[in-house]
Amino acid sequence: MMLKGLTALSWAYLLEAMRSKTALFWNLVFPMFFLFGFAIIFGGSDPRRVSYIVPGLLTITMISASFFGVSMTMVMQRETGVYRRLRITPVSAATVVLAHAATAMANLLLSIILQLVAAKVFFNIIIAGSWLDLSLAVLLSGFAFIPLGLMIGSVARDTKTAPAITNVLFFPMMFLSGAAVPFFMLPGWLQTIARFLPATYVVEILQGVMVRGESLSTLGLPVAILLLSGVLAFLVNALLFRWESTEPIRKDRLAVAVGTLTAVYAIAFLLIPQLKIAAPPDLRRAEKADRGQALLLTHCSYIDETGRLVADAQLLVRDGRIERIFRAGASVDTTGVTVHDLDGGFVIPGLIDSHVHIGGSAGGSVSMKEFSKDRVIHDLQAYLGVGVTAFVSLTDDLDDLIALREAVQRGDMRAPRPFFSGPSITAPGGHPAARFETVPGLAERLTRQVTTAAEAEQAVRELAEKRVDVIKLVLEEGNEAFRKLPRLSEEALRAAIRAAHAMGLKTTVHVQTDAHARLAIDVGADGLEHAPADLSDDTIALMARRGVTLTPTLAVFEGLKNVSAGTPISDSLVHRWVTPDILQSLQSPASWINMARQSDAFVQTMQKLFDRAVDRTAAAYRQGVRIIAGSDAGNVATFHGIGLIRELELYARAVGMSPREVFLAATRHSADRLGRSDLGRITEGAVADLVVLKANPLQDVRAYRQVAWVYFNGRRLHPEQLLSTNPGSWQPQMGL
Amino acid sequence: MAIVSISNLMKKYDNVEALKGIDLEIEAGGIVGILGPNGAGKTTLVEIIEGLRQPTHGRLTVLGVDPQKSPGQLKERIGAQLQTTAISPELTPSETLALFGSFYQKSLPPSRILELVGLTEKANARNRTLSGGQKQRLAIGMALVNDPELLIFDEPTTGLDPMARRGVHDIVTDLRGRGKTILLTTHYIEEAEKLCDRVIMIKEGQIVADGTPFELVSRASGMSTVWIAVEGELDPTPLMNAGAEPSGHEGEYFKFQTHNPAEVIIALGEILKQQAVSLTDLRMKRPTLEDVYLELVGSQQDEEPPEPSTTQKTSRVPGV
Repeated sequence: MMLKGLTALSWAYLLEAMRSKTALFWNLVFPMFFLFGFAIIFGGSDPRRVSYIVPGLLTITMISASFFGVSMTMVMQRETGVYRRLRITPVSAATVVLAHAATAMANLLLSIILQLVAAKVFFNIIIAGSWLDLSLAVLLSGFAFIPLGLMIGSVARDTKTAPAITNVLFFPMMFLSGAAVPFFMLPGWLQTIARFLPATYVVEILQGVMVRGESLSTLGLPVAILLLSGVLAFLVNALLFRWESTEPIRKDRLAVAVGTLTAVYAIAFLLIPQLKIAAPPDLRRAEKADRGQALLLTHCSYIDETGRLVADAQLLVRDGRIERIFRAGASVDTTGVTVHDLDGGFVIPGLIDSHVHIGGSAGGSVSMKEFSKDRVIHDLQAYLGVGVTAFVSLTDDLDDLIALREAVQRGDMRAPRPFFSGPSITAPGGHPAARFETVPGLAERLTRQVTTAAEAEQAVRELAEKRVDVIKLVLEEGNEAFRKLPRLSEEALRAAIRAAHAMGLKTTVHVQTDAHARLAIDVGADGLEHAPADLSDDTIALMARRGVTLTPTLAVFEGLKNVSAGTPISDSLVHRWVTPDILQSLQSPASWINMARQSDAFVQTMQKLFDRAVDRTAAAYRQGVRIIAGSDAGNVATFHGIGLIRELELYARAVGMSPREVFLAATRHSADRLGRSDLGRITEGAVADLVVLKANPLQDVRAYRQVAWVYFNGRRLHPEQLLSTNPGSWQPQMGL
Repeated sequence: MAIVSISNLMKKYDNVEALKGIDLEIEAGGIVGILGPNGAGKTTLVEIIEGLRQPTHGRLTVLGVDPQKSPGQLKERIGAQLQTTAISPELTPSETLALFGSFYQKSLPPSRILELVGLTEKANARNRTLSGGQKQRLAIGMALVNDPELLIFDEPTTGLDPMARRGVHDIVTDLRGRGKTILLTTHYIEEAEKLCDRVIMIKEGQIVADGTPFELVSRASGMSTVWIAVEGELDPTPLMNAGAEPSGHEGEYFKFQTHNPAEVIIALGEILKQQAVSLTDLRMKRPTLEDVYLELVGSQQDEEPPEPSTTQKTSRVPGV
């Protein structure tokens, strides 16, 4: 009976609202003005900024739909006698109130859906969380707000006082909740007041789901408070409802109602010590949601630390580590554990690119974008997107990398684990300092230019104090035809390596020729960077005997060869992860590449250097030299992240390495060089940086391109969201 | 069986005594009119019967139940049209009736009610496009959705033009024909006189008269007026002996007031036999319900001036 009446009354109210032009305007059109106004004025139509603004806008829409719409309708119906007429029918007060609530909810949902669709279509906003969580969050918000509108409707004396009361509640909610003004910008005492407002918790959960990509389960406390507040506010409506304007407003009951709700938010104040919206948006990231959660990755195979496939396994991940590995059939206690069905995917450790320069754009050095901070942050996401969860930077700004390392460790920045040498040690005016001389001060930041043993030792000591992961030395003499460069002295090289070893640091040496390689090996280098064209079999044999590693960087040789030959870039992975302006810069007439391309000699040299590098790497591989995968990404046409994938493809196809060795080169061997036995492998206790591939990389190297998911520190990242969500607080100081 | 049974009913608002002890029994069937000026307590009385208001004192059963104790049961069985009914402007009559029908356990289909109140043609028009009379008919229709035993109409014709009023009258009369008991309040005396089987006059919260219109008129202390036109010299003494009081001339007519018109007519017969006069015209006006009303309720005036009478008792009132 009640249900029939409720349905009919709700439907009638809804029909009225839909047929009334004024109601339609305020419900559906007016919120659009807000959306477009805010998105254009404050969001600059930038999807990321608009995405941050939208949860607040939705909150404002919901408050106004719940407060103004409901309270005015109720007061008008009471004043004009609609309620009196209902009162002589058997319909109950509860039915009337519920019908108002249901209509308000329908209006609210319609309005929110329209706004979301418009925000998606016109501003391409990114919703980090799931649609299900968003839908539930919106319903919950309506559930918390609507009873308040009902209360205003019951308490307001007439159509003049209703808007007044509404405004008294509306404006604080709008400006203090973080809906209109970012919450973290409010002074502390205002934040305290705001925590007694339901809207604050609504913004908290909406931002949680939409911006931070959290699920409602991780927003338990705010969700619980809104639920409780909604239920109690609804119940106290029974105390306040009035059929007739002439009925007195029960002040005692009003006091009970207000007291109850104040108590709820006082509890909220005590129970929720920290609101996440109180932190600036930069410090928040989508994957934070998974922190502390245990995950069970099921329905997968993985490649073990020896490079062999283990089929049908389950991986239990907790607190960023692989806690246990089970066979597929094993029964695992999943209480408190989120299960991720990997759909038969192949799990490998996150890949490590052992030779990168994050300061380099891989472009033609012509556009400002190449030198921007955004470019660096973008490229860090590209690494993660293609499954590279760690890199070794060999020559970059030390302070930036130290800050990045700390931000990643704190969980404040979504980026691969950075390992680094900081500056490289070279001769005064030598490579690569000579390349940086156009920008005053840059060479000093990116290199330590030493001549004597004492200077070399001093440089190593300084870097060791800054806790670099490896010492990079440079042996390079430039080019007879182009430009000769001073080379690091043997004395300095020897002293540096001795000092590094004394401090427990490994060294790796950029070499240009076989002679450099021989010298480096003689003085005790642990590894060589780049495969020299004339690397002799004898030297290779020596490397194998002494356990000196080789990081061939075939990708950069190939990149240089291709751009100089004018080969178009047709790699779909590049087009997905590299911004168009970087690609255009490679074609720019202003770029040095364009000039170099005019020189046949240059083009031929590049082709020869690549061919020889492949050949010498193959020789080294056959002789048993340990190959460590590094791409030299950041150099021309050697794109961040993708560079390593290309490097691995060259190992498999050009060098002829076995799939297993290709795999180990980018995982365990790289980690071992860094002295990290808990990285680059899937073993119990290892760091849970994992990549789920849709195909088996031991069968086909192209499988590395088929990334389904990436897990970083035990948290799932969604590759498709990496470029559209805020990665965190870190910004390079180097960069525009 | 008494459908409404009220004894010593009192209602006090703050300092005003709206009802000062009403005793009333209403039997099933027919139209009962409650007549009284604005502020007499008509609406208070019917709203107490509807259960909208709580009496301060007194006993009351409607359809055998106490409206305050079992409102739900009662609401299923009565239908009411309130003095002012707000009708949702954006719904149609058909939707409005279906909505109200949904509140009851049993209800008549909207089309049937629209037929009863003559709104079939407007079934799917928006309520805001209806005329005043059509809105009132819809309001009456809303009272009919549950096919109630007792119908309460509170001033159903106030503010309507004569045509619209006639329409409402026809509906109410039709409903009586269908065996409903109808309680209606009005401040139009002619309406009560025309429609009601029983008229209850209320003044300042008390019943001052109760009966059929005919009974009330005959019980009234008011005087009849007799106009006599003759040829020849009339000696009115026998008339005065019969109780007529001369009250001047109106043109060729002698005008008399009397409590006892029958005696006066007999006396006139005697005069015609004995005196050398011949009667050219005789007119007589009995006291009307209005006279009764004015007599009992007094000079207490309606806020709205009474509209021109459309139901004169004398067909040819001598011109002034």
